[in-house]
Amino acid sequence: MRSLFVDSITKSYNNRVILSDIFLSCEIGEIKGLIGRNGCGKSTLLKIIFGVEKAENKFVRVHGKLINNTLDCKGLINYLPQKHFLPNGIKISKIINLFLEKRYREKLLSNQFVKPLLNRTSQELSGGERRIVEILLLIHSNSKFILLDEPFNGVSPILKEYIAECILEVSKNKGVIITDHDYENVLKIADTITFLKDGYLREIKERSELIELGYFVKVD
Amino acid sequence: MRLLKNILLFQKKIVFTSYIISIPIAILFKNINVVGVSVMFVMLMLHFFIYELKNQDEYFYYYNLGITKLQLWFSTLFIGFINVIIFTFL
Repeated sequence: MRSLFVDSITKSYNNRVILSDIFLSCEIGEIKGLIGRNGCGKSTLLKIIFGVEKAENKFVRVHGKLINNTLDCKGLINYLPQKHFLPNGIKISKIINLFLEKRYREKLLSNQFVKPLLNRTSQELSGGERRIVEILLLIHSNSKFILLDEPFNGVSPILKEYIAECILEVSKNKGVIITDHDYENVLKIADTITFLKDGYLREIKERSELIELGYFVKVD
Repeated sequence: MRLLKNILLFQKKIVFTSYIISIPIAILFKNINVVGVSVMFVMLMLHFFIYELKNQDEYFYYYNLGITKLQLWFSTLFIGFINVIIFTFL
């Protein structure tokens, strides 16, 4: 019962099948990595799970509850989109206070990377600073599952390492599905890896499969 | 309460700008009752331009709180309608 269960997701654009009968599951305490080429449908899949993108067919269930739209995701699934989503012109401290429940705020307000940004508005932050605030907001929320779409995008190497640590830490109490083109960081933290190609998901069991797929170079 | 505060955060930009545009219109027509209808109309226009065209990604902030796009549109209509009532009977 402590799982996110996704089944039968089918999606096509202009008669081209992007996702074909996708099955995916994620348990609390698990980090699931999703890799694949540009345009293969990774983001679309996450958006369908979150309920913001329509699909021809879909079945998403969390803790026995059917998820049809974003309203059903409340307290269960949070989604980090590729683009920045913080409201413009609002101070970070106010956003934290409005977004998080009281019991989760203090930890984020005293965070070493967030503290210097508290009195600045989201527009005054660089892309990397915005990203770290967005990720930390979502992982400090009370949802049981987080879908992270390119969390390492536009972030400095030090912050990448910190984000990876945070995701590992939070995965003790949450389930995480992560996709990013920085696949080395994804491979480093993910418990299981799935590869999306031609609309089909395939679980990667051995590193040698990643060499075949071109993610690593074979060294003799 | 937190959800209500976030809906007000969403509406803040829309409502203030609507008043800034609508008050000169009322002065032009020399009729205070015009403000209500004008605010409602401008609010709907601003909602569309700010959130549907310009800052579409901001919706994800509200989605992550469990607030749907439909609820946000309804809140715009509701606040606009309250303005119509207030300024009609003023």
